[in-house]
Formats: sequence, C-alpha cells, structure tokens
Amino acid sequence: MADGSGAWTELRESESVGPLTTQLVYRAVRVVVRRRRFPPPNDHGTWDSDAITEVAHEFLLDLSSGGTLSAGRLSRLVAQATDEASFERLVHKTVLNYLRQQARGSARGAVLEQLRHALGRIDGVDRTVSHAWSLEHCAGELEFAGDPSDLIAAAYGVDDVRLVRWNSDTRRSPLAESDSLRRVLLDVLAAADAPVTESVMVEVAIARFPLAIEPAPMEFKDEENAHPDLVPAEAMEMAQDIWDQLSSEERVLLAVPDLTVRAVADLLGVGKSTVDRRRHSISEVIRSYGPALVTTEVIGILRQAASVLEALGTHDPGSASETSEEA
Amino acid sequence: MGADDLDGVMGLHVPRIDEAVGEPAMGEIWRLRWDRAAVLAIIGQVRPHDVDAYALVELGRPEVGTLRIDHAETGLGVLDVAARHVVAVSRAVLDARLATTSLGSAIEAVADSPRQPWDYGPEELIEAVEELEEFRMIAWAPSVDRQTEPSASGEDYFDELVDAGLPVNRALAISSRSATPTDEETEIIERTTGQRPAAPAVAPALRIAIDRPRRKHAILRRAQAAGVSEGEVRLELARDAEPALLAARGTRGAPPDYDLVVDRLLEDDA
Repeated sequence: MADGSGAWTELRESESVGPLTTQLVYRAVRVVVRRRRFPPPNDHGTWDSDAITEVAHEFLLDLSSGGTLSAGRLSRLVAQATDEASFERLVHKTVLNYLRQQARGSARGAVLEQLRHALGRIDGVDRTVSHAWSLEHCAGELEFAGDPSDLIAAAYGVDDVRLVRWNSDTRRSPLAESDSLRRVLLDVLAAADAPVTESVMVEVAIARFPLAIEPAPMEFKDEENAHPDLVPAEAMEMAQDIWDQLSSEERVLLAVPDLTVRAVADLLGVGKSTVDRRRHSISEVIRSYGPALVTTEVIGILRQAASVLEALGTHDPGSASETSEEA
Repeated sequence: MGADDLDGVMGLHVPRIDEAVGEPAMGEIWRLRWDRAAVLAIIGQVRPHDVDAYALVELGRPEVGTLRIDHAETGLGVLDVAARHVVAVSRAVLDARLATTSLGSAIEAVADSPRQPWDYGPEELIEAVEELEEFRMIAWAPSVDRQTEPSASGEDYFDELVDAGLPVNRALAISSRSATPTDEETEIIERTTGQRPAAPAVAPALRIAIDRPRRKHAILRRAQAAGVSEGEVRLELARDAEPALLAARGTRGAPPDYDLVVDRLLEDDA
C-alpha cells in the first residue's frame, strides 16, 4: 500500500479509529492466528469470522479500561512507525504479542494446578495459611521477598532433569517427569529458605520450563478452508513473511538448496562454517512456523526467491529485520 | 468481512503523541531511528557520544527483571522496561522524545545493581531486547583520537597517495585520517590503489554537533531526498565541515563553533 493511503495516515490525520485501521487489525489477527496456530477463544471451536472479530474487537477496545489502554497502545504504534509499511508490521507484531499474553494467561492456570498437585505430595513441604509453600523448618517465617531470579537459578542448578515426551493434542504436557519436578521444587524452596507465594512459584516454574506455556497445538480448520493446506495467495504471504526475516546472504542460499556446503562455500567465496551458520539460521526461521504451515508450496516459492521475489520488488533493503552485522 | 462488525470501536479517540527534540535525559522515552528502522526505548545514563537505552515492550503482566510504566504517566499504554539489559547506543539514533517518566532513579538503581545474564523471559521481551541490540551496532564513523603523523602502515599509504598524484599536504592529511577525501580524490585513490579509502575518524566535537537530536530530521530529509543512508549524509557533513571548520577557527587556535558550522551546512535544506 502506498504511503499516505493507509491506517497509519488515517490515525495520524483523524486521531481516531477508522475503517482502514479496523481492516488492518482484523487482517493482522487473521494472519497471525493461522501462522502461529493459536487456539481460538474458549467459546469458539474454530477461527471463524466471529472468533477473529471478537479478538480484533478486544485488541482495539480493551473492555477493562473502556478503550483507554488500547488507544494508548495505538498512539504508541503510530508514534513508533515511520511509514505505512512499518506501521503494518508493528500492528502484526503487537497482535502477536497480545495473543501470546492471552495464551499465557490460561497457561498459568494450568501450571499452577500442576504445582499444587506436585507440592502437595512432597514430604517436608507445607502450605502456609496464606497459601505460600515452604519447607517445614521455615514455615512460620516471613514470605520470600528476594529476587526470583535467584530461585530460577536454583531451579536450573538441578542436574539430570527429565522432561516428558507428550503426544496429546488436547492436553498440556507436564512440566517435567515427576521425580525431576520434585527435586527442582525442593531446591527452589531450599534456596528461598522462606515460604514462597504461589505467584512466585509459577514465575519460577515458567522460567525453568518455558515449553510448559506454549499453546496447545491444534489442527487449523476454518469455514473458508476445509483442508489445512495453504491456498496460493496465503503461501505467497507465508513465503514473504519468511523472506523478510532472512538477511541478504541467507536469501541467496535458498536458491542453491541441493549443493553441498563445500560447493556453496566455493560458489559464494565464504567459509564452510559461514554457510553452515546461515543454513542453520534459515532452518530456525522456518521451524518457528512449524511444518504444517511451511508447505512444499511455500518452500518452492522461497527457492525461486532470488529471481522471482527480487523481480517483484518485495526485497526491502531498508527493513528493520535485516541485521547490520554482516561486514 | 468481519472487519465491518467492529462498530463499537469506530471513532475511538487515539491521541497524537507530542514529539520533542532536545538533549536526552535519564528516564525519558525516545524513538530511536536509523534510516527506516525504529524502536522505542527509555534512556538511562547519558554521555557525550552515546546513551544507555533499555528496551520497551507491552507484556500484559510484569515479569522478573522489568519495571512497569503506567499509561497515566505517558499516554502510551502500559509499558514494561527490560531493566536488566542495557544497550549503549549512539546519540545519532535519537529521533524524538515522546514522554518523560519518573523512572530515572529506578533505572539508576538497576544500573548500579549486579548484572544478571539475559537468558529467560517471555518471547516478546527477548525480541524487544534483540531489536534494540541492532541499534548498538550503528556507528557512522570510527571514533577519534588519532595522531596527525602517519603510523608505520600510514607511511606506506602516504607514499601511495603521493604516487597517485595527490598533493603532499592532502596525502598527509588523508593518510593520517585527519581529512576526508573529496569525491575526486576518492576516485583517484580507488583507481590507483584498488581500494576505496576508509572512512576517516571524525573529531569528537564535530560528531557531537552532527549527532544532536535536533538535527536528525534534517539529516533524514536529506538522506531520503538523495536516496542514501543517514550514515552517508553524516559522513558527507563531516567532510563538508572540514574547510568551514578551518576557516571558522578563532584567533590563537581557539576551537571553532561546530554547531554553527553544521547548522550552516544544513540550512540550505530548510
């Protein structure tokens, strides 16, 4: 969209939400929930138009503040953006962060239940009248008021912690194998040497076991696509999103996927370790979307990126996602 | 389309944030910008050439190692400061001040506390820090303090420049990196040595003058009009300032007024 004709301009000139802004947010929600596989709101079984509208509405009009906080958020995004394209990227990013926080909110409840279940079964651990958890010898002391990062460090200091291979698509995985979790919790309480509130225990557990708060995976189905495969327009959009996250040097590698590392190194005049590093970086970007979304069609588009996408002018050397560290 | 159902939000007032430029101070929220990349950050310690900056992000709820800024204080929504990770950034990236906060002393306390390793936290917090880190690398000119006499390797370079046809005084100034080659000299040097001359160091006072936030917009306008980067415009200003600085030097070797010289170079764009 050409500068001067989008949501950023609409907000700057009118200082109010208009149709261009609502369309942008709606579109951002729709794209982000598909790419990142967020589960739909509790009262919706799928990401239909109503579900997307509900989330977009909440994002634009935070009901708990009567819209004040949402307006402040938009004011901030307008101030940060430098043009229409950057504003659109910021809105997408902010919608993604908003959805992450919503998902974490429900995930925290699940983590708290696991902790209560685990702590309640450990001999020598008491629950105080204020619902904090403590080792027996310090149950009557004041609650821990130190730095939670010290407790997180203690949690990471436990050796031989085993996680659980989990195959369910509907239930969250346990934080860790039960004995491992028991040892971690005991070391945390020992490090605190004081009762620890449940909110701090949840913080420590999430920091130690970050995978525990990933949204439960789901099969994406919506009323427009009975089959989860991406249609061509969406495949192009997905490829564009991946392309934008790659550096110029990484993009070049997409055109030569079948060459050996040595052959690519010779071709580009760089070291083999450099080629390895760049290929690993590309893999990490693609892996972050998940195999269900990065289809063979998307890969095919990316492999033509050096010629097709460059010719379409979709490569933006001034984008914020490019690193400036390549000498 | 579903967007048409968002009636309840149409017309929601989204106030425009007042922007100001001036000298940065601890606790202020600034937009940092370099060419088309921009982030918001809160300022910590301020030094002549750079400032400490902390990433800002909206987390939904406070996390370990963050400081919270309420919406009532800034009008920017609820923001969280990644207080455990400071990034030193050049003054050249300071674009506009958006708000002032009362977090100055809290940030100072964090600055004095032992640093914790940054290896955990919500994804958006880590991503915000990584975006700010990209601004750490921005340096449009090498730093300063160099000798006027050429170094051992500089003597070879001096000889090359003289052999290329440059006058001795220019060859001396360029090889000791006390002067910027003109476009014509750059072409000559590249043709005869096979290498473009490296960007010379810029005098500290000149860098400070060029990097003052109040000049940022004029520099950006010039860069966009010419289709070049901010860094190239700043280097060009540094180069163009040299003869003017020499002429403006006061009696008995008194230092020139760098701000005046840079202002004059930019006033043609006004």
